[in-house]
Amino acid sequence: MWQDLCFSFRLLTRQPGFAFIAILAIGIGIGQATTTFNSFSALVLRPLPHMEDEDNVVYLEQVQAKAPDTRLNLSLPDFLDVRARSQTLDRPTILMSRTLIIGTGDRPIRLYGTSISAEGFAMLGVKPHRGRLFHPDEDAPGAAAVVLLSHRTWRQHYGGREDLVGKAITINGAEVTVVGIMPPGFGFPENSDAWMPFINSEKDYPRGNHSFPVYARLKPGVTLDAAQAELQVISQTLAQQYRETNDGISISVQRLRVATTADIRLLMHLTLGAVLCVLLIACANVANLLLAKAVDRHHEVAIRIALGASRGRIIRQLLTESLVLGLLGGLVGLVLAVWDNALIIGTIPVDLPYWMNFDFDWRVFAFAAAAAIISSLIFGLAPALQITRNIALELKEGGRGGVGSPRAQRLRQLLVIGQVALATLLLIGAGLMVRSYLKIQNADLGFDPRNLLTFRVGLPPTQFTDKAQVRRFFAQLTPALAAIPGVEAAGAASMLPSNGIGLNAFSIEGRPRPPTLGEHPFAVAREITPGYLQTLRIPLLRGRDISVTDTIDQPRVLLVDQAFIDRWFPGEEVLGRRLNFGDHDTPEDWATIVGVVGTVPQRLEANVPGFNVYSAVDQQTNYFLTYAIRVQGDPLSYATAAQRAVISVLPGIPIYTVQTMERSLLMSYWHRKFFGRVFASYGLVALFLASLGIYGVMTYTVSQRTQELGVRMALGAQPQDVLRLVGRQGLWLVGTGLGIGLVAALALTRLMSSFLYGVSPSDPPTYFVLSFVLAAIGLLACWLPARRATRIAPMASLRGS
Amino acid sequence: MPLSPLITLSGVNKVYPLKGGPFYALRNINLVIEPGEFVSIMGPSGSGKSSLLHLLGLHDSAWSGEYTLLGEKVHQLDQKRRLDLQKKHLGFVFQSYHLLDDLTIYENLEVPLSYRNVPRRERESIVCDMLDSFAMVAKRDLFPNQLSGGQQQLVGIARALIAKPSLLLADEPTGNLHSDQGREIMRLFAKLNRDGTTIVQVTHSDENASYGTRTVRLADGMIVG
Repeated sequence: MWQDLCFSFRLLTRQPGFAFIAILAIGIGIGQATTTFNSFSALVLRPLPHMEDEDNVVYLEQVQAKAPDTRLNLSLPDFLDVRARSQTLDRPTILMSRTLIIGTGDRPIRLYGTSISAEGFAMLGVKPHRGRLFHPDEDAPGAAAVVLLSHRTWRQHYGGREDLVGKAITINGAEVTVVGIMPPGFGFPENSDAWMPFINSEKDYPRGNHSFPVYARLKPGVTLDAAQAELQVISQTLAQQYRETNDGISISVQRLRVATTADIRLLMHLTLGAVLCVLLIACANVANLLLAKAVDRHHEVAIRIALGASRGRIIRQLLTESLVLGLLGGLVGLVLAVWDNALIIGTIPVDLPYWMNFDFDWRVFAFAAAAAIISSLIFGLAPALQITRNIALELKEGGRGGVGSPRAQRLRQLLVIGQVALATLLLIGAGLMVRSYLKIQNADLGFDPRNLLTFRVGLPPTQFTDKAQVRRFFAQLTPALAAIPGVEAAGAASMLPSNGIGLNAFSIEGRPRPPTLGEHPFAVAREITPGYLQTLRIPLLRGRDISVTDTIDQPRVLLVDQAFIDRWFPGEEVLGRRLNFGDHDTPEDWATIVGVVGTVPQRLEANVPGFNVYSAVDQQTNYFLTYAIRVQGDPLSYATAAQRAVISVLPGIPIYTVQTMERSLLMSYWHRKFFGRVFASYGLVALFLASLGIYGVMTYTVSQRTQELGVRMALGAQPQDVLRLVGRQGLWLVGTGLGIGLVAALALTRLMSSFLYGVSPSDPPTYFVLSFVLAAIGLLACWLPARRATRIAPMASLRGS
Repeated sequence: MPLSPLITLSGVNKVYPLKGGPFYALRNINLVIEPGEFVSIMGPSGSGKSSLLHLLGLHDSAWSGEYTLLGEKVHQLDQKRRLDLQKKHLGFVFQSYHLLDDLTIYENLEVPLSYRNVPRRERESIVCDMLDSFAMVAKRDLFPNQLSGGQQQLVGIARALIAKPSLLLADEPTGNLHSDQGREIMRLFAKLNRDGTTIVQVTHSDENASYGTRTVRLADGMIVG
């Protein structure tokens, strides 16, 4: 073995050109595969940090029988019922996002807070870095206020003070005791800065409000199926007890890892599949190079066999050589992967959850090594078998035998056809992703996203219990922001377009009220301030806008968009019609439609239409709103002025999630851009490698036919005849590969359909343009060696032979 | 007690099926070679000399008839057993030397031993002895293209002998050498034969054949004398 290794290295140093191309091709393939595997590993394989026995931590969701693809969080009352009745779940834990404000006056700081059941961390198995976790009774109403800080918050805002635990700090205007510091890097569920106990309060959160993520641990010995069966029984009981809200709703349970990666898992698998195609193309390329080199090796192998080597022994030696190539390629691949990984992470515009760690670990190195070894076998075995076929008489006959035989030639051609087919498949996939991204980028948003600064601001309900004060704050803030020099308009909404949707059930006056929640019509309801429509430039089509006179003591008013009318009132006049979004049938729950506005699609990435309903902020009580201000020049340069305006209305209130509207939109579909880029890079590498493969085979073919071509030219063949002769073979290779690739693409790109926007998996322009590009590049790779063939001097080639 | 023959060929044919009818490279070959002989196979080009030699060397399995080598019925053996037999008893010298260009002289000599699973230390000792006996110790780290043709053929012979074969087969061993080098090689063969090695060589040269103990003449694939 050692001898074989030494010989392999010696061979490589004697053929530096071949070694460079082969190692680079494999390096590129393994590099891309390793980067992708690292992402897969970060998402799926690595243990969640600081969590004990994560396989038994589960996540609960509610599913509507009528819309099984729409997953809902649990409502608080349903959670409490599950907690009381379940025998299979240990310490069910509820979560809620919170804004926690520390600092005062003109230097307020917003922390991303999470309320969590007191036993939640003990359930997860997390140990504090300092101090203690919550006591079980600290989430009871009236319990003393306590907080756990993240390690980052402790260091960043409290200087890592050792004596902070046990001390009181001010949060949302109240004294709260710090009971512990969580371990470094911990931010459950995503990137929390601080945690407070979730104080149960069923009154504020009705059974129809599905807002709460719920986690639990399977009790020892309990399987997921057993837990699911029990939750099914609980769901049925709840559906009988609370028919209006729970009819047709069941509770499903998944392992935490599965739930947290559900959205991206298919895309990740598609990416892995794509990158394996790239690796296969690289392997086919190197196999082709080895087959071409086999002409030189055949003689040597024949000698070795004559000296007593068995075929197996020779194959072992050839595979050792492939292994050396593969391992060197793997090393190059690792270097490329480190660089590629940094590049990829740098292009992700969102904050990644705390548990998603893209640093390389042993799994990645093991993968790269395994990829190198398996690749070596893939690209080394066929040439090794080919070289050692029927070799015994080669020395006597002095011929090239197996490697120059029609069989070997067919193998080389098959490899090229395979490369072209895989490259076609990848390019089509990449093309669909890129076109999808371009479509979404140029989609009609229903508003003008340019020159808008957006930020979130609000008054924590635990601190500001007077609802009138909250309404007054926003009523004063909107004009204060509009008065900033350079600001053209300002307005706010409970939620901006493309920042997610909340579906709300309603009933229509004059139509029977459906008996269950699931049968109600649904719309995306959001509360807006006067000026919101002008700020976003959403057109008012009929009727009037929300105005400052639409206050809490006035009849409730609504605006609806055209999509809403088309869905729920087709062909009917809607102005003056009344809707009820409340739980009861009291007069104050009914609101009158006073205006019709342009449609704003929701969740562009999912291609969900509008059904928007807008009501007046001043007629509800929203503790938090997202503001948009339309400005002249760079929107981000207005952030400081916006913060000052907020403080001028109410000191100690921070603004957060400050960004331009365009970035806010990008955040909602960044993954399209990201995966579009990733697929495009795979497609381009595949195209390059496949072209190299075609070029290599055609060059080899021409070199094999030099004598024949010389004879033909000596007999009067013109350059175009030679070009046609050689080109025909290349055309056949490219055409066959392209055809197979297109059929495979038609079959496999359907898997991507849920990620496409405005483009079908069989989008004709994508198929046509990319086929043309691939065919053109493939033919160019044929043309270069063919043209060289036309320059053969007949006498020289004949003499050479 | 008389020694049993080293090689017995009986009714051996080698046929290429061609469109115009079968072509006999070897036809009804009957041949016995005793231990210690130095046989020269002669004949015009295309007479089947090399085919016969490679058949004897077990490089070819596409033939019919009976071939017994050192008592083993080769025609009844599978490929693996034939390879074992070849490794154990045969050494081959080629007209074009066929040294491995990317290996040093030392490594070229070591190759047959490594294929016979000889331990590394033992290999070192055997190769050093062989280099010494062929007076090539100074050239052990050179590559074949750094040697003259005659020197390369010496290495080829040393390599053929290194596994101590019972039979040395040589396919025109002096074909690529000038006459002085050729004579030197033939003298070496004669000495090896005197020392007990059975040799079968293919040659065009009557002078070379004169070093042997017997000449077998072929024409059109048949033994004619």
